[in-house]
Amino acid sequence: MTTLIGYASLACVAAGLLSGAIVLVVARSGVLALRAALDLWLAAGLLRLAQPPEWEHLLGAAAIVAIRQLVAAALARSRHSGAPGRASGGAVSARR
Amino acid sequence: MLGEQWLSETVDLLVRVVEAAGALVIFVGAMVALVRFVVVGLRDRRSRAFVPVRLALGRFLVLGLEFQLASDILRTAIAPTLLEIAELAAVATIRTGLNFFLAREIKQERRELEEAGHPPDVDPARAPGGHLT
Repeated sequence: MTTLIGYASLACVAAGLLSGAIVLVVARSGVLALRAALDLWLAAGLLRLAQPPEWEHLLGAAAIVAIRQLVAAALARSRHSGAPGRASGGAVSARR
Repeated sequence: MLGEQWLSETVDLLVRVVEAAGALVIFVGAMVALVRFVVVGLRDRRSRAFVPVRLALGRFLVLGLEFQLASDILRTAIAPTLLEIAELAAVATIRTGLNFFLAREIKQERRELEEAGHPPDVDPARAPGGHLT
């Protein structure tokens, strides 16, 4: 079970990398690509949490959540300030 | 004593089953999202088309988290040591926080989609002609 979850978690990490690359190429938005990748990396973190709890896994999942919140806050701020998309991380191109 | 051990083993089995169900939901959601990211990237080359995919993935993650929270609650029935209870509390806190933030993000993105004039449940990749407009 633990090995299976380990492989599933690894697959999610790879899926995050691939999805991030696809979004980056198609949308040309760094923030959107990062958010897509972080969604899948969060899935990997949640899968790892399904293993017997270890403090390392807990901290890893908490770190991913913190990064997600930071990215979301940065995206919201660049939207409200109306800054040019690509210069500020692609908020405008993300809304096309 | 035998009854107590039997109860402990039964709850342990239930915890494993519920936790495996949660992990399965999360994994399936992640793989479905990956396939849809690729399809949307190839067919509908607009950044807005990725938002429904992320919304669907968020819903899968929330559902998986609910299963995992259910297993945490079950586990409280068989956590004899204080250290185990502390670990359980930390896991449950992180999962509850995650659940809250994910639900908030889903609501926010849904509202943004509605403001942009697109119903949130429509997947551009599956819409006729592959476009929402």
